[in-house]
Amino acid sequence: MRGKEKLLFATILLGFISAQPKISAHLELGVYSPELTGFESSALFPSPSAATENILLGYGFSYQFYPNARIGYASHVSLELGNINTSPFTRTLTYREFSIESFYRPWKRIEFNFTLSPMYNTGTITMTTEATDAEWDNLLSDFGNTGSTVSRSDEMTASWFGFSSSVGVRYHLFAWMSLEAKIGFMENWYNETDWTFQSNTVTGPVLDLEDVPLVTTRIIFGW
Amino acid sequence: MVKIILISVTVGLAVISAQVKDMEAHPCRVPRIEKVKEHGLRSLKIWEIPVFYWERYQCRKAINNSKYLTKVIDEQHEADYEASKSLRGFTSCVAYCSIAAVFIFLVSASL
Repeated sequence: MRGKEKLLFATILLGFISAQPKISAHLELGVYSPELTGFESSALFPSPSAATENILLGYGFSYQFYPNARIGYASHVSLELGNINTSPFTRTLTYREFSIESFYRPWKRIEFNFTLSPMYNTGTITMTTEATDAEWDNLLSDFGNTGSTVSRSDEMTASWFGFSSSVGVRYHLFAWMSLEAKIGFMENWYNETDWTFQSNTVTGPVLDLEDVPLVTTRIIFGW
Repeated sequence: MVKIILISVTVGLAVISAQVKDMEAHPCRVPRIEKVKEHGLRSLKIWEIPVFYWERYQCRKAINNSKYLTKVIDEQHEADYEASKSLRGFTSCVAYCSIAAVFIFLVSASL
């Protein structure tokens, strides 16, 4: 993006934020039940626990563009940290919702909301390994050192589309803070043969992410 | 660059000093509180909101009334309720589609 375009984009964004009072942001704790069969059956990967398999942490924001409709973005992350043999790894499954939500208030402080969300999701496995490297070994030996260990970090990634729908109830505690619970599901068009490692297409773990039930609780700040 | 920093600092100091003068006058007679009293909470810009709550706290402390401006917030809840107590136009379509999708999912999951 060139300088003028950046300036125009920043001006529009600033105007958008400053001119309207109905932006909100949320933090989220969720539960879902995928079948991470590829990780469970792996001889190297640690078996997922309830926390690493079923818990989602998330955040997001939304903009109320109509008296009872919002558009928004929400990200849910399933995270696992551990070691494969002695090498530390991180595994994330990130589900990103681009939502349209309508809502109505049967009472002053309570609203029911209904969400439809196309999704763009990614999976990442990052591992840091240590090994000897002949070229570094030669160079360091030339300076009078003995033995060298080279640490390197690399990752394999995958991305796929999905869809989510949910219904929820929100309680407006204050004008600036609300609590929300949602129940719904997500559908993922995940393909294990679409992973990428160093620009090469590789096969990743088999994951059953179709028709996954999803329950989330949120704390919402803003208007 | 130096000019921009100098101008920013000058403007910042001017704004702060103006606010300090207002506060010295009376903590409850500040523009944001007046604005909320006149036009409601939604008239505030997003970055005015934390400042408003701070000013309201100062004002309540000064007049020793912890309920001051509570009515304005109730009125805002009332206004929000009036604005969104029923689904209108396309929003009902979103709601029906969402309910249908979740219902179909629940039925298919239970079979």
